[in-house]
Amino acid sequence: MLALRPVEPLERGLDWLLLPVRGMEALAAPLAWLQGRRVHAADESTLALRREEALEQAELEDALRFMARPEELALPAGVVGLRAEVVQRPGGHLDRLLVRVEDPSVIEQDLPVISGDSYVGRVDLDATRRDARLAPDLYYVELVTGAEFRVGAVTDDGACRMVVGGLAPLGDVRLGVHNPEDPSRSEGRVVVSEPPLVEGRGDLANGFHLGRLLAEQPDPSAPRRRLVGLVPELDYATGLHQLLVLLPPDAPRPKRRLRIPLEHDGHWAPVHFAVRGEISPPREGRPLARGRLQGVRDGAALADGTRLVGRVLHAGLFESSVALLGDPGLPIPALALLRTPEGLRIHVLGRLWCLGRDGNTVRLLWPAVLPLETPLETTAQGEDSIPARIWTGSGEALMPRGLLLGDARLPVGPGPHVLTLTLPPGAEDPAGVRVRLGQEGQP
Amino acid sequence: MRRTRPLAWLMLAVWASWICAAQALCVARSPLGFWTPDLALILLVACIGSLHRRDVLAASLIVAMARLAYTVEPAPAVLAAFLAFSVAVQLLRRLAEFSHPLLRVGLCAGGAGAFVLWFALVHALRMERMLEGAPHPGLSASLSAALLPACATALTSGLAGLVLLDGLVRLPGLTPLRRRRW
Repeated sequence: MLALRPVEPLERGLDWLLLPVRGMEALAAPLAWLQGRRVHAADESTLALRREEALEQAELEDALRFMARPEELALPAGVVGLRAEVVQRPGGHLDRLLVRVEDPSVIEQDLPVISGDSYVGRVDLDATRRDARLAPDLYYVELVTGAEFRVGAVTDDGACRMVVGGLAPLGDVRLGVHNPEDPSRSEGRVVVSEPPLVEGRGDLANGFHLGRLLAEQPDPSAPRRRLVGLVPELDYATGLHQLLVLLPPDAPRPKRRLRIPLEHDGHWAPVHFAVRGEISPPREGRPLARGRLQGVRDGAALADGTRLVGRVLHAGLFESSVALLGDPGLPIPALALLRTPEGLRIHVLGRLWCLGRDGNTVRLLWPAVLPLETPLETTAQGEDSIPARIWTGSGEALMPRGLLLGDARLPVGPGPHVLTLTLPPGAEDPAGVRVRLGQEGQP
Repeated sequence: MRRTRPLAWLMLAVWASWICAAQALCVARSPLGFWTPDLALILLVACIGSLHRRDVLAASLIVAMARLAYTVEPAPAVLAAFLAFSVAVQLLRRLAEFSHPLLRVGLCAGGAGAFVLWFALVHALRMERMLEGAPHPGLSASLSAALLPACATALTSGLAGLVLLDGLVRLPGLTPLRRRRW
């Protein structure tokens, strides 16, 4: 039962009891010597490929800077959008985000937060101050999906006012609608509508989208009972990466920075795998001779240059278990970079799930909570999928954005879909693997 | 003889560790892939056949720890699998003649297949638990994905058991662990 339903303290105790396992690994050192430490000749084509990937990573960074900006809507006059990036969901709270902001000195309580044209929630300064472990540029954001969250709203034609917040008791994720002026109303887009200067600065987000009204029957045996909810335009569970905190016109101007460094910020440590193999056939993992005492944490990313190699599944005291990209069940927050005639476009894929490896390709489950719907020019030629380069997104602890996964064709339309990811050349034998290290209070 | 027993246990650990490392390399980097036989389990079955009853648990624990050094499977799952296997073998020893080759080959095949399915079940349930509410492949998908590897490992482990069982028990250094037959 302990194997099926893990109990954290007992598992930590086992880490102590199984310290001799490290010795077992050392016993096979001769076999590791036979494998040899591989020295990779950096031929011109490999170097060119790596340079190209680094350039594309820089392009992705540029595209990310504009990702959170509204597309159809415009910010109200004088309102400034302060860039923020989702770092993780703290302690399993689905309705709360931890974000890193561009300039912490301008943050106030209850400032509204948006992503693109959609409303996300508001800054929770009180919760941030209560958590003494947090670095000064990290803040909590309460999502509109929170059970006690409420925001004023109106249909976009202005005919029906209501309060929105929490989740409706329906099967899929639907935002809750409370006290609508017209209870029979069941269609149309709903946008934020807060009175000015009441309870924070919610009015700064007026006009930003909350979702589309939809009436559903939660119980088929009671056809007369129907509930109205909002179909959100965002994937609140796994698809939030880049955000904007809206600052009032009278707020001090923020200092622009937020290029969260990935390569040279000192939070990576080089590692190598003693034995390049995994004993359980469908799994693809490696033991790693570094553990919690050396700064390795559960979920940390392993990278080879700009490429994602895998994630730490379990960090023991002195050693860790690493799941490589082909390990079935490995979750990866991901973004797709699409090259369209209009330029680069980012589509948030949310969390992908590895289903297994077939040679140099990896099958990934894409739930497609936000499906690819826009008819791009490539689909006009009768194709039902679009080529894309897949990168990691932010939003999970110690998993930085902008690490390359590979290339895949994204199917158009509602999911779930299975993507066939083609790994970059040489990905099966990474040369310079590094692990992202955790620090106290620093996700 | 008594003085050499600790050394024999150490030798079992060394052999188990080497066999597990070789098996891990075969699974990941040879064309065999999931057709690689579960050599560690074959070693355990070979040893159990010649060990005294009171030593079976210790041998299982040593082989389990060797396996743990080369796998990402959680420690409780590996320990539980080997514990259950050793209990099953003990029961079987009371019911049947353990030295019969078919029985031991069957144990190798059945144990190897069951191990693959067990680890797939543990992995799927842990993922389901960790990502409560989030969309994920699901238990049945994970188990069905493990079905072919389980059958393949069972088949090759049975065949490898047929060839290796008698040889593995005679590995250098393990003689003091063998049961006296007189």
